[in-house]
Amino acid sequence: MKFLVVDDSQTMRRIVNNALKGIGYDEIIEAEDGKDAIAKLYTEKIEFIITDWNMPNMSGLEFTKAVRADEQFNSLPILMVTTRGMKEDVMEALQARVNNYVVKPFTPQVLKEKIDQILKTL
Amino acid sequence: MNTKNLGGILDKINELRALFIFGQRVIPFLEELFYFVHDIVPVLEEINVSIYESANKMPRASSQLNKVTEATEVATTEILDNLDGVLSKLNAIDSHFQAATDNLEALGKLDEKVLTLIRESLGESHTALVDEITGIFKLKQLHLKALVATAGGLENSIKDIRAKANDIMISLQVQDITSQQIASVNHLIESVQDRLASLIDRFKLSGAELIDEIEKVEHRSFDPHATYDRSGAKQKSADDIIKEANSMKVKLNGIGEETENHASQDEIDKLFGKGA
Repeated sequence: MKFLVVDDSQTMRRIVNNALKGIGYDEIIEAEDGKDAIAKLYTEKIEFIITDWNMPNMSGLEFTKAVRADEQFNSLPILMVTTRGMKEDVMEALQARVNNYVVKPFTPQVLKEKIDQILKTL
Repeated sequence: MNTKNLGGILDKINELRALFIFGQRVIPFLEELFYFVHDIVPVLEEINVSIYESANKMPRASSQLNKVTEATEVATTEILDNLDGVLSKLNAIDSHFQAATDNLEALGKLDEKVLTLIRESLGESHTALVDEITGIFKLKQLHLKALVATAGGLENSIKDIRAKANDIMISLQVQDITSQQIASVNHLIESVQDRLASLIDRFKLSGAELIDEIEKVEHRSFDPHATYDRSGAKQKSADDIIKEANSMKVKLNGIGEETENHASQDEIDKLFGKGA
């Protein structure tokens, strides 16, 4: 399964990348922000998106809305991984149609749990 | 001049008198005010200089905070590189241990075969020698078992080290969180700087032109409420909301099938935080 990890923090991309590899996913593409991610969506065969919220140029929320607005990516799994843990944030992300939500700092177990939950519903 | 005119003049004199009395009372206050203004001017000048200096120092503070973020990112990358190195070495050690354990077990089995052969060949004629060799082989078996147990213990230690390395990796997420906190502080500094610049501009303080020349530092996008909390409370709260949303979705999908399970508009609004 090919993952797209979107985060402006190099550290976080690396940590998510390591966590994914640790749970058995080796195909990982990285993007620095929503705009970069959109470009990669059209050039790579992405099957699962893990995105941060707070990013320059295009936030994770805007990116999610843009992805959902395109019919071909309408049902592409999106997992939001962010520091934003307020109720309103989760609501907003759900309204933008993310499939699940992880609050930083997270453990690889939580990441795996959420990915599994999403994949089970597909 | 009639009495009426004299009365008017007296009234005017009274007014003048009242004015002088008022003047007498006001003059000390005006004097005090004069001295106050006289004293306050240098203080105001000092404040002006201080405002200008503060406004000038802010971009430097902001830039230094950005350098902190950059330095921690570099250091975190180095730690991650080292952790990757440690984990890869641990994987190598792990496979070596596995091979060593397999070899020790194979040695034990070979010894058993050798012992069987010796027993079959010399059993009857050299009983004492065979017993002695059996004793030695038993002792060897004990040593082999002890070695296998030690290898197992070391494997467990490797597992613990791997868990600790993964734990460090989780902790390193603090770099992202603190960089967002720093970005939030930078944003505040920028707001204060803007206010001070407009204050300097409004009062036409010296240096106003210089403030305009100060280069603004680019800041990263941030969550002002970012905190490093490993209690899992925020995750649980998010999970609860998602669970609620999913159950609501089930209810909405069931519309027309199970009338008793329908989600009301109130429930939908509640879910998405609309209305009351």
